[in-house]
Amino acid sequence: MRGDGLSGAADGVGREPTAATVREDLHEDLREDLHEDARARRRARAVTWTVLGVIALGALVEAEAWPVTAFRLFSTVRTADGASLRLVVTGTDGVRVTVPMPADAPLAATSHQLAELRDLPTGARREKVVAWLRLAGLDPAAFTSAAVERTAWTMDGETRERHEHGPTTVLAQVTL
Amino acid sequence: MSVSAPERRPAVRSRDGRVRALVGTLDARLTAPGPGYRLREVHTLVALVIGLRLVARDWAAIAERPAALTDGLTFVSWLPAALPAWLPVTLAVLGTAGVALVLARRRAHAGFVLAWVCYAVLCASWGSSGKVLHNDVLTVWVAVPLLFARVPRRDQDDERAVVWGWPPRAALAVLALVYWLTGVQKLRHSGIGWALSDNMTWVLRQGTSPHAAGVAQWVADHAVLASGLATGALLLELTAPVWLLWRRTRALFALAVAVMHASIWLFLGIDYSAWVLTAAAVAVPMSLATGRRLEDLRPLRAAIGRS
Repeated sequence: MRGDGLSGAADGVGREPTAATVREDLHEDLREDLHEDARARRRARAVTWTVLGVIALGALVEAEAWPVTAFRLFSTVRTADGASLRLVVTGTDGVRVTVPMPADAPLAATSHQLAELRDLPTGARREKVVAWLRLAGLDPAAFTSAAVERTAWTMDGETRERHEHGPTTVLAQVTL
Repeated sequence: MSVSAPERRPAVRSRDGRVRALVGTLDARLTAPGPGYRLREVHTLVALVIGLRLVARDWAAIAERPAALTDGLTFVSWLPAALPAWLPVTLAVLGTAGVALVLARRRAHAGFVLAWVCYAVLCASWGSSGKVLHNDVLTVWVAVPLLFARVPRRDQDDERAVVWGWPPRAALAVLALVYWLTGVQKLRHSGIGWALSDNMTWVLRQGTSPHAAGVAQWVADHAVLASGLATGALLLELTAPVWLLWRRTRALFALAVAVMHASIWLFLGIDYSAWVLTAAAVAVPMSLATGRRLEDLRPLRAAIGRS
C-alpha cells in the first residue's frame, strides 16, 4: 500500500542509508504499489463484470433462483378485470368450506402456490392441502376432498367492489 | 458491391471504436484510485442496512411454515424444507454480531461476510413460500462487490488506491443496473402502456393501503395524476444509470427513489425500505466531492436540527 516510501531504508542494521539505497527502496515501493494496483484492477473487473453479468443474464432469461431474479416488479398492466383463486374443501357431511389462507408473512405468500397445485403429483397436492387446513385450524380428517376454484371478477371503479362473473373453473382437485 | 463494401468499413470501425472507447472509459472510472474513507463509509452503511433488516424482522416465523408449503428455487433450496426455530434466530444473532464487528472496525471484512451470509440465507428462506420476494434482493446484490473488498485500517483512511476505489463504484453500478432492469422489464412486458394507460389507476384501486386509503383512492380517481405517478416511476428506473453516473445527481437519485418507494408504501402498504436505505447507503457517500467525508455533513445535520 501507499507507505512513506522510505520504510526499507533503515532496514540495513548498522548501515547508513545512502542516496543509492534510498532510490532503490523507492523504486521497490513503487513497483510493489504498481503490482498491487494491477492486482486490484484485475479483481475489480472480475468481480464487477461477473456480478453485473449474472444480474443481467438472470433478467434476460427471466430466471427465478433467488437472489437471481427477473426483477419483474409490477411489470404487468392491471385492468378492471381479474381472477381469484380459492381453496374449497368438502366435509364428510357434504358441506363446502372455503379455507382461509394465512394472513401473516412469510406464510401469506403460500397462497400463490394454489395456481400451481394442478401441476403437482397427487401426493404433493394432498400434503399442501393438509398443511393449509392445519394452518387454518381445520381438521383434515373432517374433509373428503378439496378443489382449487378460479373465479373471474370485474372491479367497479366507483364502489371498488369486485363483481364475480362467468363460470367457476376447477383448476385442481385433491382427495383427502 | 466492390465499391460499397470499403465504404462501410470505416463506419463499422468507428462503431467498434466508440464501443471500445465507452468500455475503456467505464473501466477507467471503475478502476481509478479512490480514498479509503469512502469505501469505509459505503461498507459501514451497507452493513448497517443489513443490520437493520436483521433486527427488524421476526425470523423465527420461518419455522412456522410447514415443509409441504416451502416452495421456490433459491440458493439455499438444498437446506431442509422445514427449519427449526433456533436456526433462523441464531443466524440473525450471528449476522447482527457481524455488523457489530464492521461498526467496531475489528475484523470488519470477516464481520461483513458473516452478516451478508446470514442475511442472504435468512431472506432466501423467508421468501421460499411460493412467491418471489424482492424486498431484500437489492441489498443482497449491492453488498456482493463489498464481499471482495479489502477494508481499510484506521491508518489507511486517507490513502488513495485502486483497492479502495473500485468496491463502492461496483456497488453503485449494481444499484444502477437493478433499477434500470426493473424499468426495462415493465417496458418489455407491458410497453409504454404501463405508464400511459389506466394501469396505475387499477393498481391503486386493487391494492390495500393501511396508511392512506383515502389518498390512494383520490389519486386513482384522477387519471392524469395516476398516470403521472407511473410515468415518473418508470422514467426514474430507466434513467437510474444516468443519475448514478454523475456525482452531483447521485444524492438526488437517492432522494427520488425514497419518494417513489414512500408513495408505494403509503398507497399500497408494500415495504421497500431496504431499497431506499441501500440506495442512500451507496449513492449519498458517493455523491460527495473528493476530500469531503460523510462526517463532514454533521454541521449540516446540526443546523437542520437547530432550525
